[in-house]
Amino acid sequence: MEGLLTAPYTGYVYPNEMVIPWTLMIAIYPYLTGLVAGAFTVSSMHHAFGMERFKPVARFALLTSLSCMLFVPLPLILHLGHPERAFNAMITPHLSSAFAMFGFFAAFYVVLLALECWFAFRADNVARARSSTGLLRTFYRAITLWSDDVSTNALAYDRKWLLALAIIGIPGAHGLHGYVGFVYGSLKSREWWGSDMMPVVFIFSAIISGMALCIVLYVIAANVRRIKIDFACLKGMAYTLWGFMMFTLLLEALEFANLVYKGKEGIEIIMEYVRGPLFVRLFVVQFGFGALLPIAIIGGMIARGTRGKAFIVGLTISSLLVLMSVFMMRWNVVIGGQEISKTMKGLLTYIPPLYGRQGIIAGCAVMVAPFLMLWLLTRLFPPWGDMSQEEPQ
Amino acid sequence: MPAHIVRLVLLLAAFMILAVAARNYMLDPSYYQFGNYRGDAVIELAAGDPQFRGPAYCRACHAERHTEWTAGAHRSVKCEVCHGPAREHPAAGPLPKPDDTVKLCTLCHEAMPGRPAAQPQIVIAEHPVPHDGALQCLTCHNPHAPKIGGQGEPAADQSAATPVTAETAATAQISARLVVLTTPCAPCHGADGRNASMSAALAGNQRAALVRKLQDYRSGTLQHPVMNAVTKSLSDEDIADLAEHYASLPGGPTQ
Amino acid sequence: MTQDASKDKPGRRDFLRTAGKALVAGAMGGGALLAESAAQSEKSAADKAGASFPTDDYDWTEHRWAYGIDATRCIGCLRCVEACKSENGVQPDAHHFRTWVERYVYLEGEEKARVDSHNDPQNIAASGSESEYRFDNRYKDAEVTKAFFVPKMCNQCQHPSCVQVCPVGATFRTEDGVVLIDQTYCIGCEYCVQACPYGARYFNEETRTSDKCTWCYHRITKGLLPACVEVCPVEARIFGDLNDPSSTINEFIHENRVHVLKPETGNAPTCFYVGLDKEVS
Repeated sequence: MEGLLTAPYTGYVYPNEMVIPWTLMIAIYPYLTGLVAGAFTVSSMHHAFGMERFKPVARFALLTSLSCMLFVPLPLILHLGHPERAFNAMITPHLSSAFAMFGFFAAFYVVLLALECWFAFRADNVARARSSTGLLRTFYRAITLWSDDVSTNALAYDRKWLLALAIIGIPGAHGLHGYVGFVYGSLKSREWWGSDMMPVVFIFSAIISGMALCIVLYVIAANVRRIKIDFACLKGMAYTLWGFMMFTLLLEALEFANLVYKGKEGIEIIMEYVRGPLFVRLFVVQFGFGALLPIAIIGGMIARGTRGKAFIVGLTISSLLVLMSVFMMRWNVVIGGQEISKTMKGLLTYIPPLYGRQGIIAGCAVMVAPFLMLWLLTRLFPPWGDMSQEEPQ
Repeated sequence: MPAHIVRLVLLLAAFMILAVAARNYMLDPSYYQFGNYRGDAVIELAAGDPQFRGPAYCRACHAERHTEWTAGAHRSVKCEVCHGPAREHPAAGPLPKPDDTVKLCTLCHEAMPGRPAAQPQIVIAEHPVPHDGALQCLTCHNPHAPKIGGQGEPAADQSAATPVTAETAATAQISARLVVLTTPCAPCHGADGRNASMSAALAGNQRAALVRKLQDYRSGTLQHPVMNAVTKSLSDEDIADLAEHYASLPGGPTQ
Repeated sequence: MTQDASKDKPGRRDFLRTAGKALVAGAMGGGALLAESAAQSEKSAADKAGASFPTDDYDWTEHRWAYGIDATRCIGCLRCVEACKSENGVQPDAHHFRTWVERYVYLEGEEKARVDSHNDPQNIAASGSESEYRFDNRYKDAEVTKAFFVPKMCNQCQHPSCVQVCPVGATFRTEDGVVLIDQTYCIGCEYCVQACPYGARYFNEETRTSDKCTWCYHRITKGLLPACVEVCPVEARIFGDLNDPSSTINEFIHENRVHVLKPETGNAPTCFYVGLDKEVS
């Protein structure tokens, strides 16, 4: 049951602002699309840029991206007043609306991602179709479109398609997530949101969240499967994560500095908000523990040449901190923007309910679901190089 | 061309065609009629039933009241402001007559910083005399022609009370002390004590009778919200002076 | 595994053929979409030339509505707020308003105004419930240097941000200048609620869609005034047809220095104010 939760407030806020419109679900949504984009970037480093170093994690990253992508619509559906009318945005898209264009972009991208996975796993699926029986065999036969052609010619086609999809997928994934940043950055009604840098900031923080996720999942998977971690791959991911993290922190700091420096009308309430309710969430959690600390840890490990278990532990901790920090960034943007009233004379406080379709329990379920899906997909389509029969490359 | 590529392409093409077909099936026929919206929506939105009907609607049955209202100071306050939207009235029964006028009238007339000076405003607990706050406006005011002292154009000075000024006092040849004493009496009884439209005419009455009346109101023997309030703080000497003053005025009510 | 020596590599021709087929399929789909839209606009052109729309007695091409608010006259009685709720069935609580009034008070020694409205708990206590509206008199004993009331509502912008962002075309601007919401089509995403700089839109939990002031479209298309204008006892609200040279709104605009709220947004409101102040946003 959803009760109406009017937000506590200080100062003056418009009477219609008393209920925060975009909730926890809308903070989770860009987080998920961010993971999609970031994981896809990891996989593209091998599939598009041909970096051998990332081969061990490449297909796993694809599945991670796909699992998250399949659940991206869920928080939106849970938020909509009329989810059954959601397809109106595709039947009669209003071309000036970023949301409408997203519908097509997302549809295009999910097909692209599914296709890329299809090509990446096709040879393995053909082999599994041959070696399984019963329902599973039917499944694999269907998924390979009843073709068992793994000739050199066929595999060459697969390679070409995979490359093309990976290349197209990069702007695809980043457009998918960048548009979310555009939604916020293009709104003139809220100064906390309206910034030209917003899409860029979103994209880069998405990349680091996806990379961090791939690192964490790779480490977990290796432990579960009791397989030795490919250190070159892990280190490669650490380096890229570290580099992107510094750039992301720079962008986020620049955006904030820009806002403060311009000091436009309403800056007083923004500063009151930043110094008050937002201080811990932004400076301590997002920037401090979530950005500076992992940068320091990874940087320190690289500088001292840390190896082995210590490196894995340090990297995993850093990655978890990054994941937390990126979620905090989404929260601080989405919820934070709404906590500053449009009157620029008041502040509200968003307290998410526990129950209800937009509550904390539902939010946890939405966050857990992609990983359950990932587990299922890795069972059906094991991405590990050591288990592959026939690989496109 | 490997078989799986061909099948894949055909699958994608079939999906596209299916999607377009579904879209055309689901598209509302009036959509895109005038722009990027459903044309029928405008017709639906224009179709609702008004709830407020306006004074002309009321006049059809309440002509006399309507005339009184258009001539009075409340002619800019339409009927439904106080009585609520007419909706299906009279079919659905009578409209409410506001009973708590302290609550209703003070919405506009409570003295409040921010209200333009042109708006008649009162301090509730002091109008027309200090009281406990439960004195209903209807006690003295006709809501359809609320200005006390007759109909017609509201004077530029919007004060509800007709004060006894130094001029009128001089004319009546009464002392400054009596000017103060008779201030609360004038709005209802008239400056000359002869107004009988709202209350008893005082002028020319027996002095002893006036004294007795004032004493009874002061003690609560006689009950009248305004009279009880105005007499509460009168001393015996005040009562004697007031009674003598009104007894001495040329008598007979003017209304 | 099949070995076909003559086809060791996929030829460029093969690739182009596949790409071509895909393109054709896509083009067919896209073409169908475009053809449908074209057919629709042809139909609409025929409709436009036809009968009076949206009703037989009211032709929206003949009117250009506009609204005026004289904040120097407003007494903050809030009859407009209650009338709007009665007329339009707006939720009887303190956080859904199609129109509302703000009170600005400058106290002695303070440079910033104190602002309050119907969501303020003290005002709710003064009125007795969330469905009745009244300003409390908290400043009656204070040293007030300046105070005034400002009615607010949807500004019915000429370049509405809400219409721009609606993904499904559920909100739109009519030919007579009113921004309306199609309640059967809105998906309730609340993008428009976010986009409105004026806080005029809200989420209606009953219809689970967005909602806002419609200038009482069902009244103005019948020759009546919006409910708020109808009940205002001090003529602080003015409504009329810009196409009518003798209308009160034209008089209002021509005889006063009029302002709009937040002009920097570029939304070009058609709600014109007299009596704004530096603190009014």
